[in-house]
Amino acid sequence: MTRLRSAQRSRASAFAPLALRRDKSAGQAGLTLTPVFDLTRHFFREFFYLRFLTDTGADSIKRATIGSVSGLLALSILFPQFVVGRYATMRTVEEYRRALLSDQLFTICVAMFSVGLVAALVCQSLFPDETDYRVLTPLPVTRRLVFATKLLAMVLFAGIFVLSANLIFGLAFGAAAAGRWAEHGILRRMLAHACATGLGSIFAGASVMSVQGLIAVLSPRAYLRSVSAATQTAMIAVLILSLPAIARASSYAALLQTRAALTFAVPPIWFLALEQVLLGRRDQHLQQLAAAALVAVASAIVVIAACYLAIYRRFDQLVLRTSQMPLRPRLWPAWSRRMSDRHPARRAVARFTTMTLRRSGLHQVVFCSLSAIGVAVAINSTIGFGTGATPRAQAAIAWRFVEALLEMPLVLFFFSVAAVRTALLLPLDVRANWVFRLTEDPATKPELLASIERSLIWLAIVPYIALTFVVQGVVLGTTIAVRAALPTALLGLLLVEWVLRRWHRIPFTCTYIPGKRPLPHSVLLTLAAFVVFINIGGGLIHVSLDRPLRYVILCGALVFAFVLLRRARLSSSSGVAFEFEDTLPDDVTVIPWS
Amino acid sequence: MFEARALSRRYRGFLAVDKVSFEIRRGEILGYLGPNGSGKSTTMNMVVGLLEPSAGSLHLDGVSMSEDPVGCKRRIGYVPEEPHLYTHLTATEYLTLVGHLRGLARARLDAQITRLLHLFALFESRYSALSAYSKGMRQRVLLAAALLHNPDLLVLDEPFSGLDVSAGLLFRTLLRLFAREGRMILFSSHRLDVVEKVCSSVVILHHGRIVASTGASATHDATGSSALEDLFARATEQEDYTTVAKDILNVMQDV
Repeated sequence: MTRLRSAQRSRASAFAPLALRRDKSAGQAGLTLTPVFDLTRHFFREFFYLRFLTDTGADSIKRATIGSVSGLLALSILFPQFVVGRYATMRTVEEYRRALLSDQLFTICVAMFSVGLVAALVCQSLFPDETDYRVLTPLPVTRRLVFATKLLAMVLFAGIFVLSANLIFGLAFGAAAAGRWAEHGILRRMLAHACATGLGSIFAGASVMSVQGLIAVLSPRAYLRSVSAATQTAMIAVLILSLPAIARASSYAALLQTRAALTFAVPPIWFLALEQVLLGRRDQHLQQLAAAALVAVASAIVVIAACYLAIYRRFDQLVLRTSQMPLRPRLWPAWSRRMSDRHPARRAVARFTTMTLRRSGLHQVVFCSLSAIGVAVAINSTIGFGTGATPRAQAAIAWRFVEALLEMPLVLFFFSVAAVRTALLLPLDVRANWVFRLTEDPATKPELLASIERSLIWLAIVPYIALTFVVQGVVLGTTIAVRAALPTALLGLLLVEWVLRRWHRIPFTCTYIPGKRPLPHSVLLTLAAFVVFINIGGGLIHVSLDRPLRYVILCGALVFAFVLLRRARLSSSSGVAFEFEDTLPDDVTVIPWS
Repeated sequence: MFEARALSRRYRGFLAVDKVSFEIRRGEILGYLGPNGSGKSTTMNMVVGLLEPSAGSLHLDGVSMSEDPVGCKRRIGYVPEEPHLYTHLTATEYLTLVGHLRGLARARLDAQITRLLHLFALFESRYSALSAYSKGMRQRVLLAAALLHNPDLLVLDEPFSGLDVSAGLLFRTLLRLFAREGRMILFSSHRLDVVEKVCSSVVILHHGRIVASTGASATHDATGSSALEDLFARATEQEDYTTVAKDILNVMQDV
């Protein structure tokens, strides 16, 4: 409610002039274009407004976004060059056709994924909500104007991403996919591919919006926030989990030629078929798939329109019913209460962390999205090994497969530790942190840090050890799984210690300034850490499994490193106060190359 | 006794509080008054340890707050001006969080929270998130949280904001009884009528400086009009309100 009220205040101040700008000669309903422009601009800006950041944090994220978009644009210039070079070397028309079909599907998938992900990230702001109702209804603007401008802002916002995806993947790819085997003119190729990627990305975005619209209309108000947040998290997680499939999209293009019924279950293939029809292929199966694509786009748009209409007609009924459900405490068994019955401050922070992660949509989305990336990478690294033609090739593949399975928990640790850490970094109503500042006590700092360490271990290490132990046990056998468990767990604990080495925050209580390091610096560091932790860690586990001496040395070294890191962390944290305000570094960041 | 000695706070060259000194004896409720921007909340934040004084010192029963900040904070209860709470928690969860952070034992804390929720008329809403609470209900949660650890010094920044009449009367009585037990209360408010009824002495702040101090009980004159109001207007150099009100009406008519 505090957030709602502060949003109300900001919106009310933003629209205060509206009441004064009414065109007197035109009467009550005769509003000039100014309110339309102001409202549309306001709703459009809302899509980019991150409430949990301070002004400094928002500026920093703007810089980071501009940097990453510039980087992506620079890379996108290389994309057509790569495509041109590839198609120029094709030796037969069949080879060209196969490659073209694969690349068309891949680019359609990427465009759909990008727009779908952006829509999923902002899906809670796509329809007018309670804040809009409470702030805008008392002002002299009609409900129709509010809905029309919100829709306009949404179309503009979605349009930016659809157009960007189309420019890079539609027009650029269509123009570049030439070569001596090209069967169609450049203009037709560009238009057909732009149409397919454009409609595909519209379908992806519209599907996400229609799901959110249906939830807004159909779910009981008491559960709306939680259902909406859970669906958003699920959609983002599913999209991220589809990344391994997108990476292998080229291999699914062959499905189109088999005319399998499965093609009707894979939306990107509908749009690939649409492109083929637009390029002049008159196959009945392709035409059916193309029709499915058009019907799907139209259906998603109709659902959005229907939801908009339903919310428009029942706006007050939908938004003014209670949106709170009782939060009854869980009755933990007595033994678990005894286990957690240590220092009160430690218990306080542990419970605060758990309850915030359970109830805050933002933190859930961040936690689940980053964890889902880990799952996607882990899945990606354990599939698609092939069989191998010779015994030697088969042995090499088997070796790599075992290593991939041993690396799987490390990949999951890497991303889930990052997910928990990022979620704990993001603030939750910074103004309410006075209660922690008031009760801050250097004597309890080790207890609070222990609570944060425990959160990381229980959320990011333990579930994945259990999960991968089962997978490794089934695939590699129980003996290997049991042997691998100890060094894997030690590597996980080592990672937690490493991540917490400069941690001086109580979760969710400190302001956050993202992008303090230059983007390339962060990317390089992350990549280096990934390679060292996953490849070297996984390799060491693998080579030590059947050599007891190596195994003992590895485990001993890991325990030694863990104890060393832990002691260093605890000694460096004593005497340092908790941080409640994030600051930009004063000095120029120097990349330690040597 | 609580003492503020020559307390100052500077924000990037701007002196928000300038050499403010006052003391609160046991059993005393000190009203801390001043117009907006006079430095009241800055003083409150320094007293509870949320801000470091730029100069001066604070002492609680002779112990300097800069020497033993944790020990002093343990003996202070605080109700901030704005009800900033973690609104995803329920009242029970919030009070438990505060109790645990203050190191209170679990068994005693649970019973105490239940009793406080009953007494503050919040028990029926104990499973609702604080985001669903009205301003008055949140204020009651904050008051309950401030009293949970039985503090020696209660620092209240606009504590009656949003409270209904009955809750206001209850808290007024509660504060008097609390002070009578030998505790100290620093009470900041814009409600001069409440200050007159509750406080045993008053300090008036203007532009970061104390411009007047008096006993509040002797502030009604023979005609019944509040002498505190007059004192406040004089001490803080308030303008003629009728003129300002007329000017506002004029601006409205110009639209």
